[in-house]
Amino acid sequence: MIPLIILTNGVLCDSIYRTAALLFGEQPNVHLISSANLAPKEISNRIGKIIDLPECREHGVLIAVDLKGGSTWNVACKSAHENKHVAIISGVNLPMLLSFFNRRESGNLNEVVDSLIDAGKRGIDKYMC
Amino acid sequence: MPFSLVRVDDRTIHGQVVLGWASFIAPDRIILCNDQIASSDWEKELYESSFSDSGTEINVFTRAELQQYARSEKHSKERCILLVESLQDALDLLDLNIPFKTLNIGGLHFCDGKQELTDYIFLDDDDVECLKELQSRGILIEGQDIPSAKKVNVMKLVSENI
Repeated sequence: MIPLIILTNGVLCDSIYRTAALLFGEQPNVHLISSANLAPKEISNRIGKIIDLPECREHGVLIAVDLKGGSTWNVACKSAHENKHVAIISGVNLPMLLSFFNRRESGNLNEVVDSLIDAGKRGIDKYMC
Repeated sequence: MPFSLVRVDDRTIHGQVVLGWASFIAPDRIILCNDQIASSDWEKELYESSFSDSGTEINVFTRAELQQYARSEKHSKERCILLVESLQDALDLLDLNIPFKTLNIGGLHFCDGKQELTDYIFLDDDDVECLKELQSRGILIEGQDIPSAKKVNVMKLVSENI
């Protein structure tokens, strides 16, 4: 099972995980980090400890952040640099998380990341009368 | 050349700056002055490409490149936001003859050993020394994370709380 870190600004990480859990049930191996009040160095330390866990080393680990180019993205990219078992995706949304929780037991990290990005994009559509 | 905003922010180039301050100031350019990031190709690329569709030029400069930029006639009319990562870096700008009168403290967030001043300003003893030195050199120090937030008198809070 691929572990997950959700790293966002403000309360988004808690809210989006809580909402996914309403649909999918509580999930193991999920780490929530809000960047609120935390220096990049402190966030980086917290990420570093998680990505070094044996289950992350064994299965790979996904870091889902909210905003590409924002502080969460920058810190995640810097923390994961030269760690080939870490994947980072930006623009986290509910369809992505649901796809991830559905597939993370069976797929490898690359496949799971590709399919969750696809699910995230497919979850954005329009309907105009 | 005068900078439109000189800001200390440990998150450097990020949403509050590129989305918040840039829409308020409408700068031609945002510069992060940081020797370490500017000399690492992948980190420089990470920051310079971070908001590539924002319409604002984003550069990571070494101190030498910043001096060159500030002296250049070609850029003298530009509106520019200048970012540094720490109070020591802000103090160093004065020694590089980069002139500014007001320093915006936009974010010095929590890490071990830092004391809370506001929810986005946490300081240790070295930070307080830097602030006092900046003040003694005539710099006005204002806390303000985003343009819509109220400005905070940082030195007053320091004298009351630390």
